[in-house]
Amino acid sequence: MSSFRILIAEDEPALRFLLLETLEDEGYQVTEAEDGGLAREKLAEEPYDLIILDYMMPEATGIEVCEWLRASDNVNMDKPVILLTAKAQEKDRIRAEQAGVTLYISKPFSPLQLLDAVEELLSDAVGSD
Amino acid sequence: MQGRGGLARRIARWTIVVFLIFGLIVFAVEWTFKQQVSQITGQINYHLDQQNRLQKMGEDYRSTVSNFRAYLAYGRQDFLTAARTDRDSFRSELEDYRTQLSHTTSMAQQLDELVQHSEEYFSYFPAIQQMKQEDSQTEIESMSQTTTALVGIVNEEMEQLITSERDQVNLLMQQSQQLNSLVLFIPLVFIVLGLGAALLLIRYLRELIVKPVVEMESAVRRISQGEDVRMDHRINDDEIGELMDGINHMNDQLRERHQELERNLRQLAEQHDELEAQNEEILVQQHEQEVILAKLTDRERQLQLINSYQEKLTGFTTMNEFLENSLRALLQATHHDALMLVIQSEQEDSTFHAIHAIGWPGDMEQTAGTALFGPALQVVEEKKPIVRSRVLSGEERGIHRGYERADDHYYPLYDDQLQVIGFLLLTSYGSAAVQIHDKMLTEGLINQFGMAYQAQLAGEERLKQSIRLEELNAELEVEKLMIRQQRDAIQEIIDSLHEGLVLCDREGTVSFSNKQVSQVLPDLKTGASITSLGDYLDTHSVNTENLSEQIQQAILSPAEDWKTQFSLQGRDGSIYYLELYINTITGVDMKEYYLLVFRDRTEEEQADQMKNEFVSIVSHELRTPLASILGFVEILLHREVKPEKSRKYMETIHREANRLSNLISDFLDLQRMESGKQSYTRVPFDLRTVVHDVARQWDGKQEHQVRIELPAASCFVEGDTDRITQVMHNLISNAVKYSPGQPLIDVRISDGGADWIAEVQDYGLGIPDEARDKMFGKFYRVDNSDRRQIGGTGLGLAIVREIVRDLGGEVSFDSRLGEGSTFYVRLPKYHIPQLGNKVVIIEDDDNLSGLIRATFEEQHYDILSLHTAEAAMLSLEQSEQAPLLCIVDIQLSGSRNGWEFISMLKSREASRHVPVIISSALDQPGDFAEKPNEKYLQKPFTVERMKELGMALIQSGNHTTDVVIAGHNEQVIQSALKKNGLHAVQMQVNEDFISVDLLGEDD
Repeated sequence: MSSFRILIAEDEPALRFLLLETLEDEGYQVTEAEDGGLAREKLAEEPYDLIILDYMMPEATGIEVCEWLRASDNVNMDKPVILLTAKAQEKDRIRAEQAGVTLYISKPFSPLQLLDAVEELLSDAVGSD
Repeated sequence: MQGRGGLARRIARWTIVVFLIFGLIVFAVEWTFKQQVSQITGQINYHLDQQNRLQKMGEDYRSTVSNFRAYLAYGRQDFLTAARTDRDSFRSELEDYRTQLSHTTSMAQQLDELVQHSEEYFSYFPAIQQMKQEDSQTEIESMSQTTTALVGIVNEEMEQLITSERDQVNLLMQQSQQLNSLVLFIPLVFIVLGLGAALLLIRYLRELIVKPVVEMESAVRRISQGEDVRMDHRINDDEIGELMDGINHMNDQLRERHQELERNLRQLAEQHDELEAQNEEILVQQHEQEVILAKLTDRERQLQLINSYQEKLTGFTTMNEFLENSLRALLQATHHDALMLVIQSEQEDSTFHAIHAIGWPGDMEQTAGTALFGPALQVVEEKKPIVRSRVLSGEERGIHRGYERADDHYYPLYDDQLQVIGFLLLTSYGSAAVQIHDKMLTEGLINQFGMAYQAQLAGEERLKQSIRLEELNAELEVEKLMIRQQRDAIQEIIDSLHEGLVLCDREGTVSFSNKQVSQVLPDLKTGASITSLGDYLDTHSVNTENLSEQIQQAILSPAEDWKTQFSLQGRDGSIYYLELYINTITGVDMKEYYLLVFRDRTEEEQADQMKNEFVSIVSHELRTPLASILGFVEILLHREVKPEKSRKYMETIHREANRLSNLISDFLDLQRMESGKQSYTRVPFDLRTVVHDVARQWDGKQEHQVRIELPAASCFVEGDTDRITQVMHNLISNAVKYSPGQPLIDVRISDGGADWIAEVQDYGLGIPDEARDKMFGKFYRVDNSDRRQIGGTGLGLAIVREIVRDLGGEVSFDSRLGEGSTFYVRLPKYHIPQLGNKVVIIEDDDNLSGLIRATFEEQHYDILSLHTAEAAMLSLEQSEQAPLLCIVDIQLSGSRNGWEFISMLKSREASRHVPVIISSALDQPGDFAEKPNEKYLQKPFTVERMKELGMALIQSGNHTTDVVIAGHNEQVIQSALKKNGLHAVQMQVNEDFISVDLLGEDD
């Protein structure tokens, strides 16, 4: 079993629960953050292999966290970032790309497709290493 | 008058000198005396002191002697000691005296002797003391003779000294007395001296002033008596001297004047004689002139007559007035009896028309016209006046009784070209021939009249023209006003447009712009170039750069549907969203003009932005729970999940689905309320019941305890109970949600004066200051992760605010972060109206109710309109007196119907006799539901008929338990009553209604 570490930042308890269940069942080590601020703290503390951010969060939006991460000299600065968003407008997608988001998934999303995407991003990352 | 030797100054100078010297002398003498007296007083005091010292010395000496003698007699040591002390004090005083002593050597000698003798006496003391101790009395006695002698000498010498001191004092006293008597004498001397000085001064003044004055006085008197006086001008160069000069000068002048007067007098006498001669001559001339004057006066009178006549010829506005006045004056002035003005017609027939006549009987100018006008032809042709004599006509005889004949004088009248236009006929009855000069006068007067007549004719014409002009002017004014009003209206229309308008020609020259333009863009004066506007747009537009070019292009090649949108920083700094399009207009000059229309679409743009934002938020809010539901469903479908996990997933799905459902229904509620489509039933109710019910439902839920505190008396408000219930649910649910771990909620109703206030207080998280303004906004949730766990739709408070506002209330809150929040819902108090002695209309349709009200108000009844059965029942319950009549609609808004009210009315003793008219039709298909706009058509009675029935019921006074129901079908009505728990005792079918005798439920 892989022991990839994944950080999920999501303020909606139900969605956080869904992400946790989906990922942990596949054997990923999942760390949770309840808002953008906590996500930044966690990112500063430990290295992760993949980061999943919700867009609309208190303290800092997913985009703000991603921008911060890419601009920092953090251990996680070049890790793949998945942004989950209920805003499905084209300009939001562009905004996300500019912020350095690796993958943009709009809500509602399919947990299985998310898993596929996670797996692919991680294998890319391993491959490139 | 201040000459070199001015009199006043000279006197003053002398006076000052005399008194200064006098004062100095007095002061010096006085001072010297003072010095002397004080010196003598000092000496006297000195000698008195010395004298005192000597007496003291004598006492001490005697005391020494007596103490020593006592010692010798009694042998006591203390006497000896005293004797020694006294001796010492004697010695020191003696020494004092010696040092002070400063006079005569004889006294010094005496003093030396005194010292010598006293010391000699004291020198015996030790020896005698020795003898006393040895107790050799005899020796003491022998010694005592010597000492006694010495004591005597000393005493004597002391006396001598005192005497000489006393002598000194006496001497000095004498000197002092002498001086004092001198001091008394001195003032007398000075008084005498002062008097002497004053006398000298008076003498001097007498010499200086009085004598010259007396001289002058006598000189002036002599001058006044005509003498030639010359005053001796002496040394005086002061005022007196000047005065004397003056008197001399005056004397000279008077002499000269006198001589001149005498010369004049002589000349006057000569002139007088000449004048006497001239006077005689003038008197002769005067007489001649008087004769000429008398001749002139007569001519003048004639002229005056003509002049005064002339005055009467002007100032008349109408021709009639002019003719009446001027002709009557002419008649009087010429002493004729009748007059006729005849004018020849300008038409071809040249007939004569009498225009004005005076003094002719009746319509004689018509009847006798032809006869009278015959001679006129001659007048016209010859242009000369003629006279015809004729016999009086019958009618004339009636007026001018006693006359047989009349003379007709025809005078031609000329126009300004000297053409004859008619004549004036002057008639005199039975008078003598007209005198020559009177004839001249008459002709003159007639000429005057002729001219005035012409002038009046012209004036008449001008008057007519001016009236026409005035009318024309008034018409023009009206037209001008209309045009101005039209222009103002157009201006107002243009100014009230939301669009900014700029009109320019093909060259881009601005000929007009309205004020909307200047609110956003710089002022465009008429004649300015459109390019300046283009430049401004280019520099201030936010997103477009080549507006100027676009506008130029659009003007040069106008396209029908050309328009452009841009945003612009306006002059007030805010951003405007504008749309510009151009209309082509053909002007009156057939040139093409271009109307640039700037449409402000800022509000549209803002609304658009808000809408987009809102859609985005709604979509986010809906997608979030949906994402969880779909996610878990997918996992459940595609994975093997253990039963306990599966249950957990299901629970989450259920919760999120519920959330979605709530969200949708809240959202739809709010949408309905905001669009004003929410309809409320307005029913009076006790707020306590609603608050209590909702609070009870929450008590114990989610471990919260709800404490309820309500007033003892009922709190009536008017509103929709369901909606108020929703408000209370939302508030208490929020309180519970936002106070985790603080399981106490307080719910209260308090009295806010005009309002009842429902309060919900929690002791939880509280509301941060920055969130205050947004609390009642849509989808707003105070954003931090603690609160994120709480859930909710974010619409609850928005709904609360909408409902409370719609019901005429207000919602507000107090909060402190970390201490909790209190929400207040204020609802206006409902005042229960009294039904007593009123016509009560229970009808939920306002139009219908108003119509019925108006009809009964005409009859001066007190009317009360109520909308619901609930309100009516509440009022009935609270009223002390019964109503006069109730007009009841059966289908009402609210949850009660008209039958329920009627049942209550009839079941109460106080109101069971009140007549009722049911204003709904009952015999309708069962599924019939009234729609408000059909209501009026469905009413069984016209308002008039209802009034008739109502009045009859009120006035019948027998007050049976009548209920009047429209229709004829007893069966239908019976069943309708039955269905509503009422029973008819008796029914009576009438033409268009059935009256029912009803018993209440209780019976």
